[in-house]
Amino acid sequence: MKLPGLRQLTAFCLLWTASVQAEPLRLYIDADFSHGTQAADAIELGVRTALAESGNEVDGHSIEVRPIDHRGNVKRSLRTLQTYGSDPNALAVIGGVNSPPYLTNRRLINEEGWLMLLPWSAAGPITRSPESRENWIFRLSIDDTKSADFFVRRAIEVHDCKAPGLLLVDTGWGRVNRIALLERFSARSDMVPQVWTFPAAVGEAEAARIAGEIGAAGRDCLIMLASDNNGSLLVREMFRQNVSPRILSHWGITAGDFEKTVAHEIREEMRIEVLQTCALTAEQIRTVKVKRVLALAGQDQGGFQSLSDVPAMTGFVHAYDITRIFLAATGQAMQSPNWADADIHAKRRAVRGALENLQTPVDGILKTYRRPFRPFSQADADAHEALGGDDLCVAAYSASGHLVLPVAERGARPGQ
Amino acid sequence: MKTRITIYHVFWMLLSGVFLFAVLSSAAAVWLTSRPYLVQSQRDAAEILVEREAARLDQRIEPVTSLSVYIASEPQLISFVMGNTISIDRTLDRLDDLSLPVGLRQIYFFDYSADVIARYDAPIRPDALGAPRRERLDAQAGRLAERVLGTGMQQSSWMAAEARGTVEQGQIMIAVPVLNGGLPEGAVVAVADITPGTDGPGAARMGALFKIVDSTSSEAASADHRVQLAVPGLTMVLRTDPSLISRIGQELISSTVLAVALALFLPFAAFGWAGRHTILKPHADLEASRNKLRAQQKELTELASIARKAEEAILITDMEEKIVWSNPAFSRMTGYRSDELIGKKPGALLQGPNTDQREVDQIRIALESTEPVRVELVNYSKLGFPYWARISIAPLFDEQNNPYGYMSISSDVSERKAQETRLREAREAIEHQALHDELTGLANRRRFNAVFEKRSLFHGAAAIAVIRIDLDHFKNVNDTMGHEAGDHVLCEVARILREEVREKDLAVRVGGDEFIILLEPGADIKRACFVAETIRARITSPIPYDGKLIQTGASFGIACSGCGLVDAPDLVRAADSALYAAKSAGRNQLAVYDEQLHRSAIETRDTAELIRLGLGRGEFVPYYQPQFDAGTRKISGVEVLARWKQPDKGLLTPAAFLDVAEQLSLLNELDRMVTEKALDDIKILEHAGLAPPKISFNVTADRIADPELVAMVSRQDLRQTRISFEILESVFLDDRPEYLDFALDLIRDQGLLLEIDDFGSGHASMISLMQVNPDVLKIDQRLVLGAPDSDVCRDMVRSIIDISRSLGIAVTAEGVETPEHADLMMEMGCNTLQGYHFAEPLSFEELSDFLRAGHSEMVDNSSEGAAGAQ
Repeated sequence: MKLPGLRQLTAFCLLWTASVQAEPLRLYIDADFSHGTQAADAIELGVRTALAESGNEVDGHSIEVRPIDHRGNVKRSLRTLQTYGSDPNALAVIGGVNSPPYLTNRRLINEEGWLMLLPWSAAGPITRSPESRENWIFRLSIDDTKSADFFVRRAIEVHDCKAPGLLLVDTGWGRVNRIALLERFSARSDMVPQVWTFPAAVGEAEAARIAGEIGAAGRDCLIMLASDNNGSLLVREMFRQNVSPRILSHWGITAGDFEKTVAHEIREEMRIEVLQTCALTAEQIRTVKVKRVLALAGQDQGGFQSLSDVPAMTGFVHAYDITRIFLAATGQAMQSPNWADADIHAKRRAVRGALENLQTPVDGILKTYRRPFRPFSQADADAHEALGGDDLCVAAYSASGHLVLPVAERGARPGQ
Repeated sequence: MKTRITIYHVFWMLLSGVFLFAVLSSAAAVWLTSRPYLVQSQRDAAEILVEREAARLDQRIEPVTSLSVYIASEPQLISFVMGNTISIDRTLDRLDDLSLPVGLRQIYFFDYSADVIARYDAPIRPDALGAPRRERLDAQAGRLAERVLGTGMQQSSWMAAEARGTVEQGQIMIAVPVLNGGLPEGAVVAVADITPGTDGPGAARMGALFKIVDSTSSEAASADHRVQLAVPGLTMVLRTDPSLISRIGQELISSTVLAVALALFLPFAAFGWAGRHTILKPHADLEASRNKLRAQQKELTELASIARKAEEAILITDMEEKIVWSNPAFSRMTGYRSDELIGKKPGALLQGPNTDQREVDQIRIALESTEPVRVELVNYSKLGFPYWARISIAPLFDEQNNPYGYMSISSDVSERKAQETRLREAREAIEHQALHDELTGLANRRRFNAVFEKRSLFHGAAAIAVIRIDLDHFKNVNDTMGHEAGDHVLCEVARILREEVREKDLAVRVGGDEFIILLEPGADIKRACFVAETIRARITSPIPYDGKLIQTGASFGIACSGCGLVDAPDLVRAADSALYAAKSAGRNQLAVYDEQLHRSAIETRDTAELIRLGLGRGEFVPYYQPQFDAGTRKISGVEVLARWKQPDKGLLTPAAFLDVAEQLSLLNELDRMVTEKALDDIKILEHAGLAPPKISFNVTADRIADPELVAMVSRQDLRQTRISFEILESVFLDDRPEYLDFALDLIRDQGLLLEIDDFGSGHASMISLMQVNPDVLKIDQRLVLGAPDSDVCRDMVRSIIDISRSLGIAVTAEGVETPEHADLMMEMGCNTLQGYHFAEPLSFEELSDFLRAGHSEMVDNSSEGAAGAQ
């Protein structure tokens, strides 16, 4: 029997497929563009800079960026992830500075096969998925399992803290770090730091109360995990109450306008150190590379002379580096003959496989990454971590508000 | 009935109308002047009310708002909303610890996408909401949350309850954003029950209804009174009752009308009172006087009209009795024209020779004393014809009660007078007929009774004498010469009586040929005898009639109260006794009720008394005279004979009491007593085996016709003794009563026997005998007694026996006193013999003995016969 419509139908399907093929691949950015604008913008800048270097394409496939603001709201983040999940051209999501969305949604991410690249969020469990057989989350940032030891070591060994305290945001990120920090203190000393937690939306009254308690407790060092706004509030409140322990802050405060809301005199009084990866150090070593990247990144920003000029520098550096790795992995995945016919789920899977088995080194700002990720297993808990404890440094605020290497650290790599 | 409008009506209606107008115009003025004020007052009051109510509501809502804001800013909640924490328990626990605002029902918690992520139900709620309303509440809270998330601003909403009364109730929702870093990431929506206006008495007074509406709604825009609530988006409006002004106006008018009415009442009442006395009363008096005059005129006119048309003749005179006016009827009655009458005196014109002067005097006396009078007298017309006039004359008085004339109303009553005369004559004739004998014209018994009673009562002192007259054999005159001759004789006797008595004597025909003359009071026995003798002598003279002479006579009984024997009431009976004595003495003579007659009468009276006593005591008893078969000389029966067992006089035969008992009509009772006892005796004899074959009773014609007698005899269950009744032959002599044949047939039907008693003493026809068909003839004992010595008697006995035989009737001979009598009668063919030869009348005991002896004898004879034969 002759089917006269079959030919037309086949032609339609081919045309449709071609049109789909013509669609650019998308890279979502799920970040808090409302409250952590600097961090989000820095990440986006890093991503776009990396993409720009490769002409916004991979092996002839154009790639576009779609940033979506989750406003620090876990549920908004989930909505973004769901949007990504249903987008037939979206390969991966670049995460923001906030860890809670990914801690909360980790299980769903891994179950749904959503490819997640985290340039800044630091909660340790995110990239470790005990409940899931597959792990779809890759990180190029500080891992709190490493940062906790870094903080404890620095407090004890560098600053000789005698009465440490922990000031932690009451989120999943804070709670994970609390456990890790206490564990590390317990491992390295007999000190049991006193712990204060505060809600993410802590108000002035609560901040005053906590500051009062800290003052009354007489802490000489305070390891603080906070966002820029609540960190700013707490620091100012402590300063107001003449409570001025040395503050070793996680980099959460660098995601916003901390340097603007907390005056330099306060920053100096509180002797604030901010956990960083060692970009600033790397800048000193990889001068050419960094300058080239900064030139590219600063085209629309009026130009950057140094990394310190880049707001939320950490996000920019990490986002640039992980985007570079993603592009390399995508390019590697595209080499597969099945790529063209694969659906988005298969493509994500292919990219994920390429990430875990990257064949070529990737030249980033922080370093040159040689197979940064490996297939995850409980035995290789750091398989999806591109950085390690050796990659951690601290920074301090300059009078102009830029993060700079502490005076004592300049010219030397951490641990060196 | 149509009510006449008077000056009173007009006055009071005008006064009431003015009063009403004053009150109403005052009310209208008050209403017109006060209405703008009322409207403004209501507006002001409403403004104040709505502002106050809004403030009150704000005060109620404020804690809810504060709580919502507080909760929304609660860091734990923000963390929960942001997804940083997975539990809201701490927030909810904190709510439990708080003192929640009054009316708080629920708190919803929404995330950034307006999905409910938690809900808190207040532990104490006024009531449970129904599921539909709950769904509405949820949906509305969700919409509110969307608005909050969209704007980042606090929102509020109102959800009115379904109609629960005049004041709106419902739930207010306060939605507060949950801000994170100044951006809405969630919402808290608190729901509280709110009742606007519940404590607003002013609202009730104004009939107002509070309502909470969306500030952007058209209802809010169009409301007269509205206040923006403290919570955003809601406006309280006050819907005033449109009819309130009218109601207040009505109340105001009512109050005004009442006040004005009260204020005006006294002046108006005073005016009314004064007006009544100064205006109404004089006017009313004048009006009354006019009305009275009018009424009088009308009355006079009507009276004149009536008088002119009246059938009665009306005449008006002045005080000098001169005619001043007369009506046409008067002219018609008298024949005088009106103009002829003016100035004349009525008496001179109308009275004549037959005018009763007494009536004229009566009129004169009345006129002199100005009293009304009514008379009937004979007047004369102009042509001289007399007529009876009934005249009513009344004096006429003026208003001062002074007489100014007389009015006479008269009518011609000649016809009535004539009719009265005729009626009186007719009545007199009837009375005369009632009291007089039609044939003779003498007074009748009725008149006699009346006069006698009257004289007995009113002339007790004067002696009364009565003559009782009975014509002798007058029946023969009737029988032989006819009733006309009899009537002629009666009329002649009446004429003699009428001629021989004085004026004050009263001659009376009391019936048939019986007359009485009641002599005038004071008449003595001597005059009575004289009068009676004179009359007797004249009656005895032959009376010519139809060419023949009729000889008659009369018997006279005279009694007189002056004799001292009887009192007046007993005179007629005494005269009867005397008459009976005269007749008994041979007729055509006088008898005076003297000592002897008086004694006889007393004796009869005593006997009568004893008979009554004897009947009561059962002193009358049967005696039995046996009867014997002439051939065998055996007892064939007994005849019952009455006897009186008088305790003082012993055993008396009927001759001693029968006449008196008959006069007293006690015969039947006496017979009944004797018959009953005899029947009882016979039953005793039957039981004793001694019963006679027959028992016979003597009965009168009246007695035998008594159905009770036959019934009584029939009730007896006599097996051996037959019952027979004996009747006197004389019964069949005269015209026997019709009932007798019926009674005899009844006796026959009952199987009773019949006997003719004393046969041969009278002249009973044989034909009558044959009709009666008796069983037995009893030959008069006078014939039996005379038979041995008299051929006539013997022949008569023989003839009787021959006839009886030919008719098949048995013959009984009474009075068989000797063996000779017995033998002769037996030889002549008598069947039964009765008499002293065999046995005298026996008492029951004697009869029992006699029968027992005869029975023994019979038994003995039978034994001897039987023995001899042997």
